[in-house]
Amino acid sequence: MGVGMALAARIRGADYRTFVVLSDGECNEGSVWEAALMSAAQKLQSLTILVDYNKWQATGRSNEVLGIAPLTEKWKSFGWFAKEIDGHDFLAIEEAINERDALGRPKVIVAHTVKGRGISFMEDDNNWHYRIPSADEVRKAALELQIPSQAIRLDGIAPRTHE
Amino acid sequence: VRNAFADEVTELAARDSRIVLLSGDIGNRLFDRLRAQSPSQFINCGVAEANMIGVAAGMALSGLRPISYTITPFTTTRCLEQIRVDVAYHEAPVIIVGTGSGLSYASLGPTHHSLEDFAILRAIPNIRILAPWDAVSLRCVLREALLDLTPTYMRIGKKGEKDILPAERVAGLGRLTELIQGDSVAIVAVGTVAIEAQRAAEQLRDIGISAAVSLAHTVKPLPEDDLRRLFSRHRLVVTVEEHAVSAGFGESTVSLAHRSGYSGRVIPLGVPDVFLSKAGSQGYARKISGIDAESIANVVKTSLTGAT
Repeated sequence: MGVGMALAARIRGADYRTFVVLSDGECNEGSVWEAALMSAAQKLQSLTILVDYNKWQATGRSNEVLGIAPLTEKWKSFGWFAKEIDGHDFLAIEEAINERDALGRPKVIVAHTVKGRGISFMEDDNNWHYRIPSADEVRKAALELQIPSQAIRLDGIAPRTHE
Repeated sequence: VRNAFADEVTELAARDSRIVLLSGDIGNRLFDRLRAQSPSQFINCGVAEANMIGVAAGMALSGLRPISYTITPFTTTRCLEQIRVDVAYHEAPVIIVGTGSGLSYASLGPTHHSLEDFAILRAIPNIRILAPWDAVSLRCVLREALLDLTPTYMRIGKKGEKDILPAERVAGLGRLTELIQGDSVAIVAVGTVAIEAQRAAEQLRDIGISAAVSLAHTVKPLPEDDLRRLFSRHRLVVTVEEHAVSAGFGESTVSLAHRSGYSGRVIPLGVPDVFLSKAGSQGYARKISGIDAESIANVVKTSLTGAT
């Protein structure tokens, strides 16, 4: 769909950019690589993909299930301008988004991330692919992320101060 | 039901080395026992369903008995070309299992619903379509499906389905299973929605309407003989399925009724022709779709009183 939107911009003479967020697990799908081929062939410079590369998918490490690594090299070999960044570094994300490719290729930003980053009991634990946090766990997580308790609503219930 | 499936496959795989389970990156821990028992009989194919079905077809044409397993919409609409050409056209003995079918994943929205699988696959030659209603019937039909080489699609539930009947009472493939006898109306329920038909019959009994309930685990080939038997005994037949009302089991039954010269009425109940964009429990989704026990009972009541 992102390729279609980027092509529509070109055809209609619009100057917007198209951003697509992919997960590493999603990069298992053949349709991702079909779109990758077409974007490069069409020199879709206005298309930017961010891959949330957290190294996990539903049942295991994404580097093991279908051997997705080396991911950046795969995109490069498909004709993309590829950047590799720390996905938790907002300045790095901004810089990568703004960087221009002299060759006019579509851009992919492979963002290395850690699932559940910043929440001690969730970090890099794939059980949280399935689990729904309890009210207490939500409060505990909010505390660790320094989110004020007033900003949290649980099942529509008024916020409660966390200790 | 998922657990029963994993259990049954593990047992079957121990007895038959040709069985290989292909998973589309789901079933976290579900197949641990199978993997421990025989690592070569389990392959995680990742989130790449079109490839998974092609791989299964290749294995089947090379003497194995592959069983593919992932969430229903991803193993039907996503890889339809591979099902049609690689599996059906080649008559490859693949068993395609769609888990969490129908509205099992009602809470995850339309991406995870499967309400068109019967309609689409029915039109493809060589494929058998199965929909067991509980763990017991799942084990029965899976075992029977492995006895021949017919390409098979089987949609199953998720978890928590109550066992409805003992194995001795589950009819063979292509037959209807009789659950409740009755004479005012015949209700035929397909797959996991059976429980709603059972409850509807109980509600109807309480108001003095005697409803017969039959359960269908075979959608294709349509259980024609047993349906004709129902036509000969009842003036009203109501079918219920957790599937779009278009081109599902019910409309097949209407077509059969017409071809058979049935002079009674067939009412197909299914999900209306819209995406259910509201998220909720499976019970909620059944209710707003008009296929919960109460809706079924109401349709029967209205039709019977309207008829007299």
